[in-house]
Amino acid sequence: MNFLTEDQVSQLAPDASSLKAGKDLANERKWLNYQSNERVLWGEVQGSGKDPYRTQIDLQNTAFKCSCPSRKFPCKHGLGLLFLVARRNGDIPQLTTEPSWVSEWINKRSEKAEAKIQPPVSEEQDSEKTDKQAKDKEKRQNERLLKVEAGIAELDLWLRDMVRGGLLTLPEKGNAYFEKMAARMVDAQATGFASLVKEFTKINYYKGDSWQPQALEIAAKIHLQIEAFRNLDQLPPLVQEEVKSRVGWNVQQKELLENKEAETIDDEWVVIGRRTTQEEDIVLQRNWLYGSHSRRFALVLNFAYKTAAIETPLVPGNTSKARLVFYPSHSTFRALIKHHLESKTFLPTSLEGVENWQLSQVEYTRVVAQNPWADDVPQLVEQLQITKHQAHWYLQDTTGAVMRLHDAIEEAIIWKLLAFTAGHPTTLFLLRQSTSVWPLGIVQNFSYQLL
Amino acid sequence: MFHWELLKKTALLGTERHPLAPEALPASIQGILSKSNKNDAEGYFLKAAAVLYNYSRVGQNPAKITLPNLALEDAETLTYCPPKTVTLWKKVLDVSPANPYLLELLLQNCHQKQWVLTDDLLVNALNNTPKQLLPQLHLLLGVRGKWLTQFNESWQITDASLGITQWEEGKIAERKAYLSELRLQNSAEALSLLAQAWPSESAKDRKSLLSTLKIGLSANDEHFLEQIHNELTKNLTSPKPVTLETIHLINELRLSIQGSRFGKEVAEQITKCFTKKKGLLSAIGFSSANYQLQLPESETSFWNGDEMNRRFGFEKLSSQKGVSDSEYWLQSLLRWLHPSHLITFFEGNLSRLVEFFVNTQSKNATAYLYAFSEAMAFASADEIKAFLKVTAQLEVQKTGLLQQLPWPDQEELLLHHFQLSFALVKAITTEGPPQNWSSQFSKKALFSLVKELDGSNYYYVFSDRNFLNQLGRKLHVSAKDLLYSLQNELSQEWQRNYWNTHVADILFKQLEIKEEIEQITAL
Repeated sequence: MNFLTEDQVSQLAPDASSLKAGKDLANERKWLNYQSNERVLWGEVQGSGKDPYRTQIDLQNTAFKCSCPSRKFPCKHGLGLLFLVARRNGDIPQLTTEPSWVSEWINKRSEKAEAKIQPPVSEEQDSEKTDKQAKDKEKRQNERLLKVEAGIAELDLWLRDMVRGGLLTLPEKGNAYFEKMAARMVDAQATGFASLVKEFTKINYYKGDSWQPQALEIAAKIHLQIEAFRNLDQLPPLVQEEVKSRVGWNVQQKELLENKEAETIDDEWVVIGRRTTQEEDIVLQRNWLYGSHSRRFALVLNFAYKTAAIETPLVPGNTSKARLVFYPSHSTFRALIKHHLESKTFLPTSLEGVENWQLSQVEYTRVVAQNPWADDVPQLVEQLQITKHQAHWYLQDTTGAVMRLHDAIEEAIIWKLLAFTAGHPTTLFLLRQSTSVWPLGIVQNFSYQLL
Repeated sequence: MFHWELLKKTALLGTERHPLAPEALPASIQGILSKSNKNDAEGYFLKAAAVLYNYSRVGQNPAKITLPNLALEDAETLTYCPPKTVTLWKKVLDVSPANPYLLELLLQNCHQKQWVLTDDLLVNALNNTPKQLLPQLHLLLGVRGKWLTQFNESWQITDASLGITQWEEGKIAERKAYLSELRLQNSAEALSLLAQAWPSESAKDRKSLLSTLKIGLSANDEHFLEQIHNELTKNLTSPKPVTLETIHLINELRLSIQGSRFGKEVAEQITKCFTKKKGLLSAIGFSSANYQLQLPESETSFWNGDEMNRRFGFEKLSSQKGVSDSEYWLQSLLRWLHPSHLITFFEGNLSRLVEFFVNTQSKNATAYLYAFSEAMAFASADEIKAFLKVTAQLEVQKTGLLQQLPWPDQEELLLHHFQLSFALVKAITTEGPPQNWSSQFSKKALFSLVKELDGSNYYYVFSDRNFLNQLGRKLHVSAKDLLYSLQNELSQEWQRNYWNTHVADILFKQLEIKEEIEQITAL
């Protein structure tokens, strides 16, 4: 049976309390019964209610269903059942025939998945209705465009005032000054600009002079985006899409999934890393993927409001056989999962990366030249050796070139890197920035070790 | 960071006061800017900043510098833990914080097999092992793990052993710790060190250091104690309180030494008060109760308040209601006096001795026996065992005395002679070294826990994680089969729920782990 390791189950937990509760439920005595077959794992557990909770896990797509009232996803019962199986190394009762409450759910999921692969041939649309919809859409787009243009004009004036007066006055302005402009951008439906303006509030203005170049960097990014938007017509179509997306014209997921012209790639995608951050009430989960045959990198984003569930079949460290659809953009990584077939714990093939930092720099330059807004650029770099100099950690290639590890990196990642490599050269997946890197995991033969 | 220095002045002062001079910028940037309107000072500056920002991001090749090669060259020569044990390690470390008692057992068993930890366990093990177990963990780290510890100070073993410098230069607490440690290892050397230092020590430090002699107290210490006692009591007119306290401590120590002259003197005074009963049975020595306690009704040279206060620091008058002054002094002396004097008096028969105290026609009878049981700490293991047997149902100092016996003896007493109260179970669980309890005793201990819970309305003692951790280490693994069925002994629903979630769940998991740890040695 295809079971996850304890480390992988831990990665699925929505929060620390669910993780703890899940581990506590990895106790056979708590379960009235539990079985599995190749496609589904299920069990019944006595909770506080009268009837036992029924927990089901789609093993091929890592999806959960539980009859408990928890709003967390996966709930502690789903996690507990997976922990139990992990602790027993997959050795649990096997049952080919599922009870009806299980087969009902899993069959429905399979039907949906098949429908996604072969969408039914659409019926002939009423051309009059289509025209009306297209006109309405165009009207809405034009109205929005005018709003955004007005908003951007206001932002440009604000930015120019700022540089005319000099940045020295910024610390006195306080967060309200920036938040007000960010709110104006939200009103103007230019949310991408709102996020950029909010970056001013994240600077520590009272820690030496380091805030000064940081503030100018944000101003430069805003200006670049304003200019790109104003000259949208002159840009290549894919760059236009990128700029529009940066300003706030998000392509609807449904629209993208239905878009026949969008680039799709079927591959065995290694989930090379996951980073979850929270901005105000929104939780953003970034999943970095690498196509083991296509050699393409992808970024699958998932969002949730506060503690709401994020449902994803992606398991960090595993390989997902899936079809991804990429957002229209020049040199983008962002993609959606169109269809997920199965998840494996090993690498399907040996992976080769760039040989040294110089080649990594060439690749990084190519990405930034095509998309100047690219922040983290994922890469696979070979023969990197961890080393330390004056309290800072570096990765050195075979030519002696070094890149510094990101200052914000958790110590645990460094310790793991040392423990797994013993300081010897190794192949690493990492996120490349201009002057620093963030290692995600180690490639060793046919296995991938998350850091 | 991009070419900040080139733009710094204009950025900080503003384009109005300090317009940008493009001449300082790289030629390629100047080329791009040449198409821009220079009169639009703000637009010109922002464009320069935007272009320079990207120019900096992509225009710098990573530096080539010589940095130390940290790579570990030595290969591992020992055997790695097998996969099943690796899984077990993860299970033990998974509980945060890990149960240190089970972790210690795991460390011991892995070390016994001469195994080392696999690479994937190293960081987790080093991060989650309590400081006191680090030396044991280091035995399992192998070549790679030991190499790894150089990078994190908190993973390294700090030399906690005390050196002579601590004695010579340390503060009083450090000096006392050194002397106590030395006393455990070599009591004669510690005594000699104290004797050398004694004349130059302050009165306060003398008292503090002297208390270390309680460790390994023996007849070898008597001469020194006599000597300092004579010195301190000679020409004693108006002594400072600390000097008096030191004298009392010296006398306490002298009393506690087996066969000491001072102990004999005091024992003689006490046994004078043990008088034979008159009557037929006592005349032929038939009953063990043929002695009665007859304390002097008026003050004597020994039994008087001033003397008791001067020599031992006891109160001049009894403050306990219904307890006479001499009864109070006797009780206090019994606590210090080596028990051999009274055991000898009763011809080695502890039953008779106990019976004597029990039958004493005094409100203080229980207190006498309790005080004597405290002094029994100086007795031999056989005497302690015999004493505990005859006092099993009486109120005496049990926990301390039990811990002086080897575990099989303790278990025999607890199983066959003692009523196992919850307080006693908690005491033997949390005090004393780790032992492996038998299944029979584990069952009895768990029943006492259930009984305690059954009789209470709200019980919070089970939230003491340290108690449960130690219980998980000591209980026999077969007890896990009993855990959940014990809920049937509880009368209320909430108690059953409480038992299952706060005790059974936790102990079950720990006993499962313990069982797996024990299986390691059988591998």
